[in-house]
Amino acid sequence: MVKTFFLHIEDNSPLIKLHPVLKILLLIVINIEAWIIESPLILLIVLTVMILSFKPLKVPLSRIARFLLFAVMIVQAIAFSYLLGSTIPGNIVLLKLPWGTYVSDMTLLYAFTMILRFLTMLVGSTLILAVMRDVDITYGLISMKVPFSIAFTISLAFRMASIFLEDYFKVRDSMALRGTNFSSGSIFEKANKYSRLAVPLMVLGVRRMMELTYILEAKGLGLRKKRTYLYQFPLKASEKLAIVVLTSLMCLSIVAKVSSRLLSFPGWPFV
Amino acid sequence: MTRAIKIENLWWKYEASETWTLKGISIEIEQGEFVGVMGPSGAGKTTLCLCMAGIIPNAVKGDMRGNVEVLGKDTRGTPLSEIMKDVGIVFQDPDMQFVTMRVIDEVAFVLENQGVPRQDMIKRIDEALTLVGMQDMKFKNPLELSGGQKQRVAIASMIARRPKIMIFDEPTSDLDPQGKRKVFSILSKLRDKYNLTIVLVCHEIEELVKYADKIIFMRKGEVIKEGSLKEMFNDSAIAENNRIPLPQVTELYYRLLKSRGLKFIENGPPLTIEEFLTLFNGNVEKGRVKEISYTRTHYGEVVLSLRGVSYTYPDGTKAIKGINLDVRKGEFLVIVGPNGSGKTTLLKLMIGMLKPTKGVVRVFGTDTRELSVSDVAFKVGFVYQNPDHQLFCNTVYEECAYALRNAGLDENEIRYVVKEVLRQVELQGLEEVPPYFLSKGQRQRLAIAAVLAMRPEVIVVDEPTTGQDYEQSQYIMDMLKSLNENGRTIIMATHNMRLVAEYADRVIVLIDGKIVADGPVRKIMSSLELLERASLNPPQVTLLTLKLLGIPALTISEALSMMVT
Repeated sequence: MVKTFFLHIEDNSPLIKLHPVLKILLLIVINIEAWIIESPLILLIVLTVMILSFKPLKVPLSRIARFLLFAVMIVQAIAFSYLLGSTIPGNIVLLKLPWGTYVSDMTLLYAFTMILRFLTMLVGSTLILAVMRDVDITYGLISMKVPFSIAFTISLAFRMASIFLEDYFKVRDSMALRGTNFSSGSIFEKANKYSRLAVPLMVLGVRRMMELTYILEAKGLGLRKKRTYLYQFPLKASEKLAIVVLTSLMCLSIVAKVSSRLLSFPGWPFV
Repeated sequence: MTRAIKIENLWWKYEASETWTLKGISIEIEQGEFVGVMGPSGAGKTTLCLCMAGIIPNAVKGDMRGNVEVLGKDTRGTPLSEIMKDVGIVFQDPDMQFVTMRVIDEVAFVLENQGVPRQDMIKRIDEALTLVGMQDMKFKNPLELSGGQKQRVAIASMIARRPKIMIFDEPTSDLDPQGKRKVFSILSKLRDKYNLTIVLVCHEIEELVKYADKIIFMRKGEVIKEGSLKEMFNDSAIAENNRIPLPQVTELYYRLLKSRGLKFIENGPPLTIEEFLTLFNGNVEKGRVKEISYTRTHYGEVVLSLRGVSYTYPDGTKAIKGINLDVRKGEFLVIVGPNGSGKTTLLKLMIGMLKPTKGVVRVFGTDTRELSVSDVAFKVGFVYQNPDHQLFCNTVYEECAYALRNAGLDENEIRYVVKEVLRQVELQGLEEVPPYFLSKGQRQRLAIAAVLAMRPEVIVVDEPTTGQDYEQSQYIMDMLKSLNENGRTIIMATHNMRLVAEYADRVIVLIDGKIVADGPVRKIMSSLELLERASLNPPQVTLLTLKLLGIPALTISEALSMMVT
């Protein structure tokens, strides 16, 4: 098993073996495509393909379950904002609201599309981040000619996020060991229990950041202008091809979005 | 010899503090010296290390007076990155110092920053990891290793880097005894090979005496005594007055002279078993030793039961393999074993924090899979190895009251219980102080108090004396012993064999997730082959009496009563 930022992955997962540049590019492409594509049908196909790919790629689907509560909250927020505050014209007006907005058949479809976009971003990012390590970010960005200081900072930020998660579990366990049952009580009681985690997590976070500054100095970060690297990631021909394909796909999507309505929501722009 | 470090009348006060942490320190360390720094908690040892590394005053704010010169450079006027070219430092808490996600990357990071060519880097990483016994773990995440393994990684990073001055702040507190011995020996060899200067803060006096050229003893921010080993221990009164811990054989030597009215021997006290044997062999006969008790039988009912228990971590590591164990009410059970043998995992299974992947763990007859962690907590309390993982409230009082509020006690009752437990751990008067402002020893005592407040029948403690000086360790152990004598069952994991000998009833030896021995403490302490296999060493006095008299003494007093000169 290999420990990535957020979980353990089988070391024979095809995704884990991808070149760092490809991993980063995939993350960017998935998110940009989800931002460009407005066609609910295409989004639905992309999302379905991504969910189905978890198993063959040996990434545990349960990863998504960890973000389920967060996803449900965002989905609700998207749905309510369109249902209560939009004026998207449609074939049928289903509901007129006292404050001047209305719900049409197209409102429902557009809200559904926006939810699909969000889920595509979430599922896609989860899939790629599930196989990412600090080395992938640092080496991937360096290969893309990003300066080491920036690449390392970005990688450290991801790492700090995973350390924050570990700290969260530690503090939560400590509280459970002193009688806090996080699974019992109403949603408000649960929220109250979880809110008590904030202060110790903040204290731990501040301490970590303060110590990190001189620990990095002590480890000689910035000691030499020219840094050497342990790993070498030469690009294979197939990986070069994949980079060209992904970059072309992204460019084509942007062109298609600007020049035609192929990827746009039916009826867009609303007038 | 060239001077490596020169400190002149150094005073240091942290920005938020009103008192001076260092008070008029003056030290000179030559290039190639191996210097040990000792002293109780709060003596200023870590602060002194930060000053020697130039982190103070370059990265930490405060008021500094006096001068610190490192290889001729004044740390005040030299950028930290410049100082760090020649100085390396390993901090006390390895958790805080890992910046990458794999052991190999962690060691490589410092070399990459130094611009070491790749081929040379691979060779140095390999050599350093082999030296500390972590070659097989190079692809593991450092944060998922055991405490001792983490320290080995931190040491390997330093060894691979080879700066001219190596500063280690308690780098071996979590290591098993043979691991400690190995690290000391490696450092000594590296010093000889590369003429490195080594400054090492630690509490392991018995190891330090074998390798250090000089020892600096600190207390309350001052250097109390500094000198060669013989100078340090030549006068028992100085050691006693300054509460300087002595190696067990040295203490035994002084007590033997005193009790028998013998004169001090000119060559100075023995510091090692070998020296003691040379001095006394033939002059000591076996005394009238009262019948040695190997077992204590009056224990209560089974409170914890493990049947065929195995545990595998998500990364596939099989930490516990088919353990069967019963713990009875009133036992003082100690679990010992090498780093990474599964001690902490076993403790976590006992408190229901981990559920077995195979087998059953029963707490007072109930399967832990049917209980939440909070259900088990009021019956079996758990004290973490690192108190900082356990303390999360804003004040000492709140920390102790937290569980009681969860249990629904009224405020009057809570006040009474908190007062009582704080008295037990001698933290009364500090009720309103934030836990993070306490010393490590005080934080460890607070962590125990917070658990005691829940009045659990069983207290599970993971390495409670790690990083504590001998006085603090004894204090904590006395407290646990007193709780045990008042009917509480104590289960503890530790590497400190001196404390195991002095306090435990029953000892379990864990190797590679399996129990390889389970028995009374004296029996385990006499099984030298078994201890060797478990990377453990018996206390000096036990080994000495075994060699000298063929009987294992567990304490200095016991050894004294066994000897007739």
